[in-house]
Amino acid sequence: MTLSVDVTARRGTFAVRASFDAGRGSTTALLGPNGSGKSTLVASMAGLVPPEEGSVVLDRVVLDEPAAGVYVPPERRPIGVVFQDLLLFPHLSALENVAFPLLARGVARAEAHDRSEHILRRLEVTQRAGARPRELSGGEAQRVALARALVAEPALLLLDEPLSALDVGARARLREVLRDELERFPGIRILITHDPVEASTMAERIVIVEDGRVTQIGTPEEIRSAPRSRYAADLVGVNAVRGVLEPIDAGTGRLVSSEGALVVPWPEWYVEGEVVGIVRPIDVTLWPDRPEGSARNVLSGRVTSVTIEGDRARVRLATAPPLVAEVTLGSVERLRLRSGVEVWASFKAVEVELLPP
Amino acid sequence: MASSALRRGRTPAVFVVLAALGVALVALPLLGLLLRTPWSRVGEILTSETALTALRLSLVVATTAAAISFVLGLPLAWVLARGSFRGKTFVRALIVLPLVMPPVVAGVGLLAAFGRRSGLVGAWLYEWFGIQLTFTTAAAVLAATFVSFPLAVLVLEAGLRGLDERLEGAASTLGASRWYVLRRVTLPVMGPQIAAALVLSWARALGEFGATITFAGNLQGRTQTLPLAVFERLQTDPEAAFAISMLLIVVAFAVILALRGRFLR
Repeated sequence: MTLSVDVTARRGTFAVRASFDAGRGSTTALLGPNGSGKSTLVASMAGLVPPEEGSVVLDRVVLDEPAAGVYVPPERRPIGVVFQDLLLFPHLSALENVAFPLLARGVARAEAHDRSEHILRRLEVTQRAGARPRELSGGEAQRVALARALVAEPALLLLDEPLSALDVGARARLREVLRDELERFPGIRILITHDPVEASTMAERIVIVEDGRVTQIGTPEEIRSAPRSRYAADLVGVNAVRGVLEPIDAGTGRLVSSEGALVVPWPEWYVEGEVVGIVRPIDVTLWPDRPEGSARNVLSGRVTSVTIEGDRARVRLATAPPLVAEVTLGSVERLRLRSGVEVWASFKAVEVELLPP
Repeated sequence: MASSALRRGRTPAVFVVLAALGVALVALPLLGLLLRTPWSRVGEILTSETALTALRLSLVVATTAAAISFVLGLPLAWVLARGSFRGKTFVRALIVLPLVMPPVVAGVGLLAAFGRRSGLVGAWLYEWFGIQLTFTTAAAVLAATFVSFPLAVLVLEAGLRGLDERLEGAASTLGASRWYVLRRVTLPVMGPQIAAALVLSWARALGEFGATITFAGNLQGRTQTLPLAVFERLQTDPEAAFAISMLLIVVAFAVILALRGRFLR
């Protein structure tokens, strides 16, 4: 039992092109910044935005394949969706909201209400069963929306930013609930999120979506150790520069990206095409003036932000390419680091780790 | 000076006077009615055979007109709010026309369309089926519908535009067919607008005079609704005219109360 998505979907002028698989009994996170096209992918899998090209196949049933004229409307897909804005029906009570998918599918009223009550009890909101959505707290509404998506036992569960609307306290409580529910749900789970912590704690696999494209697919561990894009690198706290290699001399080369170039060790495996260079912020040294020494990467630029984390500080630099350096609080003081200050950054060529894209 | 006074929120004296005149314009006729209504005879007048007949007919005509306006208005509002087709602006302008058209012209138009002898459709109806609309209750209903229909369409269209379409999308992902979504989500969520559309078109139909008297005539028990009864009584028994007018004002007042906080704010 698997979901296989390979689509181009368009909403307005924005097109998303994505290809990934998801397996039964596991959670796949679609992780990406806001506006990267994650919600369009959800709408496409749900049948609300039919894809322009490609196919969506769930358990060997083709749900979408425009080339073959196949399109299964949302109401005939075995799916449950928790929308980012929940979209609970304002005119129905919590219980009636949960019973809605059962009644719509022709389940008798008494049975529908029994099953709805049962799932509301499991999610600990039975005492609010009679309340209208606008009378519910954020956490309660979220539980009702989750119950409504689960009650008809879909084969595919789509959760679009299920925790983002909640305050910190409610989010922590609901994360537990969500984890339990995901664990007990036997079908395919897709979690859409922009929060890397949420993705890596709840999902076995992460699909990173950026600017309408999938840039990396892997386990949280794989992405932590080898991020393939600036966004992924940012998430795990390292610098990533994507570009092509040009040889300089024996053993070294130049990594040329659209935003600048770095001197890097020449990888033996390299043939052609793009690679990703990873620079750990702790390896970047900062200087008030142009440094003397053996480091082959020497760049200058303005400080764009300084973030204190414990006894260390992360310093963002508008160098070419842009970098993040991690320094001690002592250095912050000594170099008078704050936004707008011009500094020099240096690191050795061997401190750039190269990964195939 | 005047503009700075306005900005500070002090009302210029001229405005106070003109505003008071405006209120008087509306209040005086109401006051006149209130004072000239023969309160001791009201019960007797309103329970007289002719008044009761007109009242019964008015309720039938207005309610039927409101129902037709809703049944035909909802699909039209749907098409106007969500469809995209050439000439949509033209269709909307056409639909709104009866709101601003003199009712007597509406009556003449209805005659031209449904008149027995020369009506576009009317002549054909009479020739083939022996159906005559003019001077029947059906004609009164048609006249009332003609003038109240635009109100229903406009209010329903505004309601559909204000509806969060994503709710309908969510319903479909929950297994609801289009028909189920319409019955269980779209219409219930639009409840207040539907109520407003019904009440407004009902009130407009209840007050209809010009188109009715032109197209349907003034026949007691068949086409003589309350406004027509007022008009006739004014010449024979003015006190009765005042009493029936008072009744219509009470109804209008009730309509405003019913809409308060829903459609009107």
